[in-house]
Amino acid sequence: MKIYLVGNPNAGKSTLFNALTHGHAKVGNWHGVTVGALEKEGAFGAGRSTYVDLPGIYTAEGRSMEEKGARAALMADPSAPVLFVAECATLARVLPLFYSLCRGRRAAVVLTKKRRFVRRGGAVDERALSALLCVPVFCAEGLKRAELAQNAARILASEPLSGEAPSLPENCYIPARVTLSRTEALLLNGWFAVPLFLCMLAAAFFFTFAPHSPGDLMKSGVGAFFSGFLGGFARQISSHVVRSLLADGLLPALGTVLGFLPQILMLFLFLILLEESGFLSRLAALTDGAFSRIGLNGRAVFSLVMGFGCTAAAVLTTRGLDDRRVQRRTILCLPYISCSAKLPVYLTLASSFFPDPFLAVLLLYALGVGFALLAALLTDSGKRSPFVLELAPLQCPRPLFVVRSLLFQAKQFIIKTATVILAFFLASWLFSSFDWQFRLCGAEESMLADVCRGLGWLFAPAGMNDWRIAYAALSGLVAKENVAGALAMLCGGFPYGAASAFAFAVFVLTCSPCVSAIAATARELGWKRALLYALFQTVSALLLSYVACFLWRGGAPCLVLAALPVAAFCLLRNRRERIPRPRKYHARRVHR
Amino acid sequence: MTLAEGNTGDRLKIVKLQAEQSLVQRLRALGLGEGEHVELVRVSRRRTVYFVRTAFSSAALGAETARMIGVET
Repeated sequence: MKIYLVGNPNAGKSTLFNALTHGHAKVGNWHGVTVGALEKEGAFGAGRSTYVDLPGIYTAEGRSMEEKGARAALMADPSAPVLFVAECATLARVLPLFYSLCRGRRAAVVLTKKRRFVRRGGAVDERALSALLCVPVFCAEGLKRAELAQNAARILASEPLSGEAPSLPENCYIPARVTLSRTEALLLNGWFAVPLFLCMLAAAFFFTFAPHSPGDLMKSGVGAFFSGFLGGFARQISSHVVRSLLADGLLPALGTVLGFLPQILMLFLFLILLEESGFLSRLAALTDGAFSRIGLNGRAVFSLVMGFGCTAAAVLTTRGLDDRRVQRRTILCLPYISCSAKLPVYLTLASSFFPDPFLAVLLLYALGVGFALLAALLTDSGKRSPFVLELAPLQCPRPLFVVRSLLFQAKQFIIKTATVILAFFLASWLFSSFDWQFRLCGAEESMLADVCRGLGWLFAPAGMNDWRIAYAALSGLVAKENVAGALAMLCGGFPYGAASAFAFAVFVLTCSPCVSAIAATARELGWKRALLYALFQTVSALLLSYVACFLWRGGAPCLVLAALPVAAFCLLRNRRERIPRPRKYHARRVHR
Repeated sequence: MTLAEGNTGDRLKIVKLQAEQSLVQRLRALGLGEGEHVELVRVSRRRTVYFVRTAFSSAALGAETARMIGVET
């Protein structure tokens, strides 16, 4: 038997799902975190059952793609019982939805966020409410898994829901006072909130990337552990092959990737604090006006900010957008937002073209955001759907939740490194250390060199006619972390000058995302469009890397002169398309 | 008048919703249906975003959406 968790966005369905099933569904303090149905077995009474966590729904018919998906999943199983999750503060508002979704099914109402509701002067009597609605009603806050499971099992004793949503008398429910605090008022002011966000971003980058910052010190510590401590042991191994595998292959590569784990976690800390505090909703609303001018809307801010963590996850969140055109445009922009996996590459290259790696990384992130906005502007068709967003409540991020989320991200990163990345490095070492007769040899005589030598021309215009660079660049299509590891393994770092380093960084910045992100894009837009986007981004990334090298070597004035007419054409074209014209309009020449 | 003509601090009553059906249903689901009272908590300087508060929650509306909501004081 499947039990569906249904309710408004940000009601607490995924939190309840995780509590019942020991699951790790993503939770966050903004509307639209869950984008697809998640199923897992969990405790139900004395036994077990399958719970299905659905995306939030506002109306029975659904407006956004995730709402329609949730509704379709529910309608596909008309007899399944439902746990309707409702915030205490919005209970009166969601009762009509409860009745329209659950009529004819066994259902129970699960109330969440009761403490905050009571603090604001509200009151709810679960027993009286249960008697009024004729369904089990219980509050999930503060209950342990066994108690939640026992309460959930009360569904089996209930009758299928019938009738219409009643109004709530005072003995059942007293609404809370909805007040506006000074902090909330400040965060609704664009002149305060947007600069605050930019300062927080700059502070996060500073503490993560700046020389002698906490992030930099932790990275040095991990690097020293791998290369110094473990590397020392590896160099004592007598077997030539095993010594080569460990000292020349795995340890430098893995050490390079894992060394960036502290900095990646610091970045995720910033993202988690932003999501959990409720600030992200306000930022999305405040930026809607500006984003509308380039073909996006404020809701896209959620996806773009998530893109700093993981592009694949960010692509999935675009399902919450009401407009398919805006979704396509947002997905096209996302690869240009530097995800956490690109960070090791940037930091490896940064010292080659900037004395201060903090400024180099800041430049690359800013460049990525610029490219993303430019991509949105160039593909803007002028049409978009009206903007409506419910604001998540402002709250102080819970320390335990933040720590658990960080530990989960660390675990995911280590698992990815220990599986996909390790397998790639092993294969790379094998093919770059042996010739076709399986004799140990240098990289230039290896099987990998023979296969990839023909790719050396790819980066020749950027001053790198080198198959190792081409191989490292293309390895990023599997996972971006592979680029830094491949450079460490094959070249012992980055062997070229500042112009080439900048060109390579621009390639990594603008190239197609990894296969996980391409697969997520295919799920949303179809394989044809996903592969087309990937091909376009890879080819344009190569061209942009040549331009970047040219600019760094002093070609800026020529490029600006060449770019001016192109930019003027694009802006005028966009302006012309915004002017409404009747169908079959033909310009007429006026002769005087 | 429409919500788009309101100013920060106005307390208004929604009298009409002139939008496509799915948007009307979404607005009603957020407590912005006909007969509901709303407070315009803040209007952005360029009048591109309207922050409203209802009896149950707070929401942000774009200028186009605000023009679709008929109100009276």
